[in-house]
Amino acid sequence: MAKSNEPLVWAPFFAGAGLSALLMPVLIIITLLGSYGVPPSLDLRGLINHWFVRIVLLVLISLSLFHALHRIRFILVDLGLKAAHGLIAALCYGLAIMGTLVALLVVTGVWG
Amino acid sequence: MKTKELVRPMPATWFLHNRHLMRFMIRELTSFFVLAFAIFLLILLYEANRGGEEFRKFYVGVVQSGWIKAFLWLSLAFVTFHSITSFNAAPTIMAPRWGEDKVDPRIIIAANYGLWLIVSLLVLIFALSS
Repeated sequence: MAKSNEPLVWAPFFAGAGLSALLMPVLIIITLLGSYGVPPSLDLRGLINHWFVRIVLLVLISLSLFHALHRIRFILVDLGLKAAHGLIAALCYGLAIMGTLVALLVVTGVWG
Repeated sequence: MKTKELVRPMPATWFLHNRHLMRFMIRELTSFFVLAFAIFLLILLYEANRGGEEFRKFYVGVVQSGWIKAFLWLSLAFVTFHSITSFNAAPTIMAPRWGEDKVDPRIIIAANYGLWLIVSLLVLIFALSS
């Protein structure tokens, strides 16, 4: 049977689909509440600085990047960029890996 | 004799030709909003690291601006669509069995929506009470 790298990219894609579907809408609602200043007691920075929230955000950001960029890879190919599919895949997964490293630096407080 | 390979032409606008393909493409496009909100979360974390005063400036100047509110409303619509299509597709992606029988797809979909509701409520309560 031919070996394939697909499970390597499919696993984070699938995990990212589930986690972003589960968490992103409520996180957008909380950010929206913050943007309207409702309730006034909502402390967005205090929330972001909570250690557990930071771990969840690291996992969510990383898996969401893999999920979204895996989909964007196939959108671009489907829209006619089939000839450059190798380059598109390298760019998309490269960006997802780079984004994960940046997220790790930011979440741990090394950067920022 | 040389033969010519038949390559069926596929215009870039193929998804505009029928309603189902259009819906498929909208679902695929939700990934841009998932990506954009992940980057926005990364920026929020970065600004939070810079200290209370810097974060306050960012909060008032950017988070509370009209264009970020518009971005968040648009993201909420597209990401919710992403959630709904993901949960509805769950029985197709995973088809668990109970003994010899396949689990009823409606139970899998209902479990996903139930989990979504519980997690969302818990996160909201945590955010508003901390």
